[in-house]
Amino acid sequence: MASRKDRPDVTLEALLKLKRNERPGGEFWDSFEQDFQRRRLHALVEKPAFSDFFWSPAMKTLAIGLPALMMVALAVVWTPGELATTKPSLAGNAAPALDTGSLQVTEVAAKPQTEVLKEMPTNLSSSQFVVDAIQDSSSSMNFRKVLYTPAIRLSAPSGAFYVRDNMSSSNYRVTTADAKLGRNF
Amino acid sequence: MSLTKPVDSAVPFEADNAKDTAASTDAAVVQRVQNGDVAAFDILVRKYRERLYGIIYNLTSNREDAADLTQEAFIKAFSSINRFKGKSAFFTWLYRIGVNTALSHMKRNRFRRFFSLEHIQEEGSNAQVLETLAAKHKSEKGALLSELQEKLNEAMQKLSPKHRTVVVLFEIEGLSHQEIADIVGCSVGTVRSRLHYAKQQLQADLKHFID
Repeated sequence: MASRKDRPDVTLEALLKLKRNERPGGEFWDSFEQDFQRRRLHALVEKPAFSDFFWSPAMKTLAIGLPALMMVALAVVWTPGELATTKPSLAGNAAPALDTGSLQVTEVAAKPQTEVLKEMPTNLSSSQFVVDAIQDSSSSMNFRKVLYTPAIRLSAPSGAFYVRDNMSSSNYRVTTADAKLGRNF
Repeated sequence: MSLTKPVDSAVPFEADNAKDTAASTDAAVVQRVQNGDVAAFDILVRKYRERLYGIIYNLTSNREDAADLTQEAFIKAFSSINRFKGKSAFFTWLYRIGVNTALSHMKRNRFRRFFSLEHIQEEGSNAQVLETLAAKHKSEKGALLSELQEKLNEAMQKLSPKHRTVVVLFEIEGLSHQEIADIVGCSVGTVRSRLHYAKQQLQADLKHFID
């Protein structure tokens, strides 16, 4: 019998190496090969499933790329129309110096919104931003830029009463920041 | 200081040479399969089936699943062999398919787990280890072997799949860190760290058997 000294140490590595010897016998590989040949033949003759086609690399690229491409195309189609309406007012004429004398803010407190809407500028040829003094529910006054178009008003705030200034559309160049800070008023 | 190569380094050098030769032989066979010689794939199956089965069996601890998944892995490799561009060795590519197939199966069946274990063949140094253990525990070798096998598999199954994969590939299959990194798709550092953590866990679980 081997003495204690001759015996190898039992280490984790030695135990794990035991698992190398967990292996099947020869008859297992015979049936393995038969099964494999049958499955390979099946794989050779079967038509690719629709899901395989759908998830092929080309289809994956198309599935992700096509919606993105459509969104870009939509954005391109819509943008020129938007620019056409805003361009003349933004870049048509050189900005005249702001006539501060013409800026007179008149307060029309507690007017119903529907009445105010009738007073919206009708002489605008295209969409323009106009500064409106808006009185909110707490009766404090705010100046806001509001986009007007000849036919429809796009960005009129709701739930507030309007106090419109008497600026003409031609000399209007007051920025929102100016309005907020009360400059040029 | 001697400039001659140490004697020990001759072994890895020869091993590297053997791997290079095997890789070039595999590449030639793969080329034949890609050119339409379907039967040539059998050469690769016979060459790698035992090692691939071993990897999958040690990951799943179930021999029926392992047999099925090994075949599935070979079928996947066969079906997509035209996509193999030879950037890595064929066995790395094949093992990656095998490991991924086994991991997907384990993920699908994580609530259905039962072991069916292969018989351990007693050979060489392993037989000595078993004798040492039998003497130490004063138990009959056959009973000890069954207990040890059960405990080993239980300890392995306690590891997470990614830690188990690294242990199987390094300690049982004897692959290098770089080869494991290629198969698993992570860095060599990650392989080392996973291996270190996994061995700590196994040491704790198997301390009853370890000196």
